[in-house]
Amino acid sequence: MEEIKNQTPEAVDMDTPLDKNVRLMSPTQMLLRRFFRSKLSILGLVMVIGLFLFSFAGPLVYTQWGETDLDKSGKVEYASSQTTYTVNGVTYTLRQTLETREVDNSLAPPSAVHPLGTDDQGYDILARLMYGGRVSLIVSFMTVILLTVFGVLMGGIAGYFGGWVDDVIMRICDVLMCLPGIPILLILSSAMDGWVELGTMEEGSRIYVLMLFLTFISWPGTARLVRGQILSLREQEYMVAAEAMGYSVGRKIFKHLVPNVMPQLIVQMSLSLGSMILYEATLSYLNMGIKAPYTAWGSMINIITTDPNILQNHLNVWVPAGVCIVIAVLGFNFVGDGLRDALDPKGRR
Amino acid sequence: MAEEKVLNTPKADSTVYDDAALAAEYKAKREKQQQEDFQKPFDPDVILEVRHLRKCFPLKKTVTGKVTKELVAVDDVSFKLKAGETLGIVGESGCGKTTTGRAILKLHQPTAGQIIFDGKDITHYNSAQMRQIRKEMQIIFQDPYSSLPPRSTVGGILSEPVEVHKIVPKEQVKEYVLELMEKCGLRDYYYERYPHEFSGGQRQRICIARALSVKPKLVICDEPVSALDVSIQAQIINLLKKLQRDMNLAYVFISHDLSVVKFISDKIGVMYLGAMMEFGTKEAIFTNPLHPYTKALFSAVPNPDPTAKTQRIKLQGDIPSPANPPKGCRFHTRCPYAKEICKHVTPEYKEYGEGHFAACHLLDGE
Amino acid sequence: MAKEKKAAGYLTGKEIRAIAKENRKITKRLEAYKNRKAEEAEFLTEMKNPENILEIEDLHTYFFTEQGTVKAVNGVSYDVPKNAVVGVVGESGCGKSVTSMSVMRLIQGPAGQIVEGAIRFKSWEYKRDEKGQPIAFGDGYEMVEKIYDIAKMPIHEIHRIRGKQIAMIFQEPMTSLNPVFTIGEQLDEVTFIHTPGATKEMAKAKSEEMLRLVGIIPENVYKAFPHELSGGMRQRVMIAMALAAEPRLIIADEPTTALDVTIQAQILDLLQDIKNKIDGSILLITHDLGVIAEMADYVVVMYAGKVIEKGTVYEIFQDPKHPYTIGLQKSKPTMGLDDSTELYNIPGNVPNPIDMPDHCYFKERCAMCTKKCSGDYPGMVQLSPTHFVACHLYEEEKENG
Repeated sequence: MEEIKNQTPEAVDMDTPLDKNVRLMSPTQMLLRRFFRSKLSILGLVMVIGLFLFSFAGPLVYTQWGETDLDKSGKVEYASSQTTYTVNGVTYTLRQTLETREVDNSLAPPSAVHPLGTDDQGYDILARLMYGGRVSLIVSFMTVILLTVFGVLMGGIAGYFGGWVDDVIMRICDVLMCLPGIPILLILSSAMDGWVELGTMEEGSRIYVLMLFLTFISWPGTARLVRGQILSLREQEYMVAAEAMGYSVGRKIFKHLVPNVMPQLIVQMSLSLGSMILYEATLSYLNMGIKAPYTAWGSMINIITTDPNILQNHLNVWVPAGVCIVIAVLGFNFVGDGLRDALDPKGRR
Repeated sequence: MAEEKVLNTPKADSTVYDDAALAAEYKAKREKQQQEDFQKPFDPDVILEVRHLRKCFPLKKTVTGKVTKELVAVDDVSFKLKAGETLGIVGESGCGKTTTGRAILKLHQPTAGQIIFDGKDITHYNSAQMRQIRKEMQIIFQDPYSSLPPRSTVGGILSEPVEVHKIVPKEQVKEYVLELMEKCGLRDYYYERYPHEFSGGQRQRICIARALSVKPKLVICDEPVSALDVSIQAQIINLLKKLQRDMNLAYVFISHDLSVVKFISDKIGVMYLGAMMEFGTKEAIFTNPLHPYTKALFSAVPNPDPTAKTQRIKLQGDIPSPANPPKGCRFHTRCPYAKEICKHVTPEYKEYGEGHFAACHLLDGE
Repeated sequence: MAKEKKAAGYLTGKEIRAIAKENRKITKRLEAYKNRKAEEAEFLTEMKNPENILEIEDLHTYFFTEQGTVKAVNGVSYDVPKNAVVGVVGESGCGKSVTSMSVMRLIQGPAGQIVEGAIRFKSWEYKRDEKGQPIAFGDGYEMVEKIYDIAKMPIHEIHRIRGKQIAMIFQEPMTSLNPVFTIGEQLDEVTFIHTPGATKEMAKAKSEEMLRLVGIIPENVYKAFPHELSGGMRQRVMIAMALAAEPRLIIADEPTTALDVTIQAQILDLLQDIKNKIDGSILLITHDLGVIAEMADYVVVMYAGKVIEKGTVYEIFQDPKHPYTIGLQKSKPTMGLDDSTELYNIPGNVPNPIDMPDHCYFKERCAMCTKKCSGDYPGMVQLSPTHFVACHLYEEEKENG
């Protein structure tokens, strides 16, 4: 036993060839691997990317019809008639031939010119789907970004400072979460109808008011999530270490806390994107969102409320929009779930 | 041993104790003592002096915010520590050793008492003043997994404090960090890596490097080796000792492992349920332990020699809850030598030899 | 430049996909084997030494992870004799717990799999008729001794031994009891499961007897919920639960690691006491050499998935042979007073178990390493009837005389 001498008195951490042999996955690889392990998240990603390409790159390829281009190529034929007059012994024959007049080509069936046909106004459905997608996606994205920024701010303040600040913010959240969203939206929408009629509001700004309102009723969810995360992160020893290092409050919040909340936030954002699309669609369906001549997916379904004939006999008018909404919501939810599994610290080794 | 005899023959005690009066008397006496001690001048040799430190956590509050029940995590703890020395604090779970460590750094604001660091009374420093002085006192944690931020590289973790406290000019930061890493036994290519790629021992080295990056005078080591394997423990202890020699650091070394504390410390304090039971130099504590709890603690450590059959001082029962500590001497419920007086009167924390303090009635038995 | 260095340390996407493909292939086959239907005769076997209650032979338990195959247990062999305490000691990641989990077949599939080897266990169970009912014999039932190869057993047959024949005590007493049931209910359940025809009164009597055995007054604890008890008390209850089924083998996985030192002393005393009272063996897994020295009769030292030394407790502690065993013992500061300024330490880190080399795994950290150590992994050298060591240093000694 004595023959063993302490070879490394300076206690050097030797990296042995055994360590060098080992090759691990980088954090990004690990994340991607976990995300792509689930078939559903791949499907979700494909769906979301597909919709984005369809809405934003689609109109660049499919240039035949614009968003507000009416197809005037509809023809109305008049029946011919023949009338004979006898004036001064001369017989005049007025022959009326078959005449066509150009009108809006509405409710056209799918054809080479209109791959998905036209709607009751004569707009090309495919083009409208693309432009409507732009509106739906932009509205939901903007809303989600707004509500996330606001939620992180409020949740961060509540979580970090605690005490009465926390109490006040959380009670506000409780109140907002009690508000029934759809009825209030209905009231707001009718009010806006009135303002537009009175001329105190422009039709175009309706969408912004809606976005702000959706943000207003949705931020408590994010704020609660952030607050909870920060409360648990604050107990982590590396936060105590940051405190012991004498870092300023700003550095602690933005350099140490927020980056560690990001994973959960991203998950929450992708999940709320789905619900925002649904909200927007619901409003447009109730004819309270985007109005003609502009469109959104929900507004395109709204057509069926005007004419039962369309609901029954012209499926090409409203089914594609419905499919788009379903794909968008499912896609965002699949991606959100996949991200949650990939980022879950419990699943990590 | 003479004392052993005293301890083993508790005398019959027929005195009737009035608990309320005794408590009031004890409190008055203690307050008087504290007032005297708080006025004493600061000792210039001493890097850290703690006087009558007390830390309570509220357990129950009324609607108006008045605290009706509190947990006394640390009760009347005092000690001095010189530069380059190590103070070991041992005790079981719930004894307040971790709270003591964090209260010294003012990560918890002490309820009462004085903390004198480097000749300055920092007890009532506000957060801005504290931020200035933080770089002089650092902490190393038990769990090397949760004490490193998961989303920064090792280089980022180590250069951040150097930049914030402007330890070296900006362009020399990387050089300084690499030098520090080498000193702590870390390879230079770790600079780009993330903490999750390392084993516990390597992570603990990173934590040590982070604590030392700001050139502190005092480091609180809160169970730094408890989560590590035996062979790695030895490396980390040696590293801590080497760095202490090189940088003239003072350590407060908190641990439940007696053999480790014995190895690294110059002075040792034994805590039980928030109070200091015994305090003295390593030699005094290990050759001549006075308090029955210290003796029991020593004899409970399993001996890695199968032939030695140690005679254990068996402690009955469990550690009482710190929210509800026993009256009188805190240890009387488990003490094999407890007398009637122990159940009623809180023993005084007194000096029984050169720098050797203890709080036990049995020592005044004669 | 920096980028190159970084890339060298990580797996490429192609390699990751190759690993995943290979893993799927292997685990699919092993899972099918695990879930197969099999006649009893297929997993009955014979003991090599009838004195043993458990024989582990050349056990390989691997984890097929995304980053490669982790050979957590890589050819481990040791025996547990009747009425003995066998201590398994080693650092984290050495495979000591995985071995015991393999014995209980608690390895989580599909990633974790027993790949090779035999775990022979001598079971003492009720003799059953064709319908699976126990055959009555006097007051009780007729008993029969069967020797199972646990590694070959289909997973749904494992209930024959798990809990009943082999019981386990875990490290974390705080989480191993169900918080919504009382201690009494949880203890009674053990009797209901393992004793056919047990009545409520029988179960309660048995539970109270077990609580008394572990030094608890049953009246105070039988109706209590786990959160009302302290850590030491819960560990006692865990031990009582393990004992309730009268197992032949108790696996104690770090039973005192989470406890305070004075409570640990109480639990160790209790285990000592129980060891003499029950008719069974204890397999004690711990990293604490002191605990092993106090408790064990035989010691197995493991390192990186292999047994590197085994022998009686006296051989291991008084005459350790493997440089790792020696280093481990010297690394721990002693309680006696000495003035050394440095602790002996084994340099380096516990190796990552992916991609192990062919030579001795301890070579890079070893202070006594010779030329021969770069060769094959050393075989077991027998030094005495009970003392074995896997080190090249002793091969020559043996050859020379």
